[in-house]
Amino acid sequence: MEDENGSTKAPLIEDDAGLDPRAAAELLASTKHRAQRQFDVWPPYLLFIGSALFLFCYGAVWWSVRHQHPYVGPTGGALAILYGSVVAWIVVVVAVISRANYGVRGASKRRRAFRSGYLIVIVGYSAYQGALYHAHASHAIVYGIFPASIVWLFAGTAFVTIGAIREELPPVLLGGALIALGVASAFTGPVIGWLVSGIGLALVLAGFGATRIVMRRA
Amino acid sequence: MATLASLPEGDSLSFTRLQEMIELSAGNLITHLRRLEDAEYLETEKSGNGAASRTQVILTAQGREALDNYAASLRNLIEGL
Repeated sequence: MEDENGSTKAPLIEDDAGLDPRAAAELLASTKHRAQRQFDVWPPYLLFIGSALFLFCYGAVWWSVRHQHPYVGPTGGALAILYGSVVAWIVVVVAVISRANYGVRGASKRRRAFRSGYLIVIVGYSAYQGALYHAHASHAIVYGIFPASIVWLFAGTAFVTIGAIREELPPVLLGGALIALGVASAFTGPVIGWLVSGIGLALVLAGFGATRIVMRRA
Repeated sequence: MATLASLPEGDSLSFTRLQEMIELSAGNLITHLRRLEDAEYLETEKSGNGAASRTQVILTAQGREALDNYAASLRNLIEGL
């Protein structure tokens, strides 16, 4: 076998014949854990940063609409914070995924690439929001209830579908929780709905991060 | 093998990334990979020619099973100590 540099001959590392079982087991476990961390496309730190970031930006939107009577929608500044945060989050997530996937080929990478198809859904929902506006729906619906809650219905539906395809209960339960959050956000109205969404998203991301830490240690 | 086993089944890893992750010299890694390939624990796939050539390494089902058995044997040994 030849490597990229054309090197074919090199000294062989000594066999670990004298390694005791405990040391061998520790080496095996630490190698596996280190590899899992390096391949992880959703490292806990990223989820905790996302949790704080979305709590902040949804909080900013809620802050901008909290005293509106009648409701007109988030201010330009609040929307700039929200969309800026979403874009920054996407950039960071793409960078982390690219780094984790560097050198990896195969089915799981292809599956992850297909998930970028979710962007189509996001564009579709934005277009739908335009249709609501075009149909003269109230500002409370177009700029409040719909954008604050629909993302949860979408994400929840996606997770339930993934769980159903894989026959795995955790994604189905997570999906159910997200749909419940979307409904709760819608019921609380266009003002509180933003806050409910922000807190809900922060809790989901932080919970996901904590779960991954526990799973790593298991 | 433990590094490759951390990937989902069917995924392969480039020689370069594997070398970076386990911090072995190219020569040492090649020697180990050759031995494991002879034992049918992993397969390598080379694409391209010359300086642009790329080698992908993939753990076989047999290799994954052997690693699991090895880990189980170590656990039994430790419990017996």
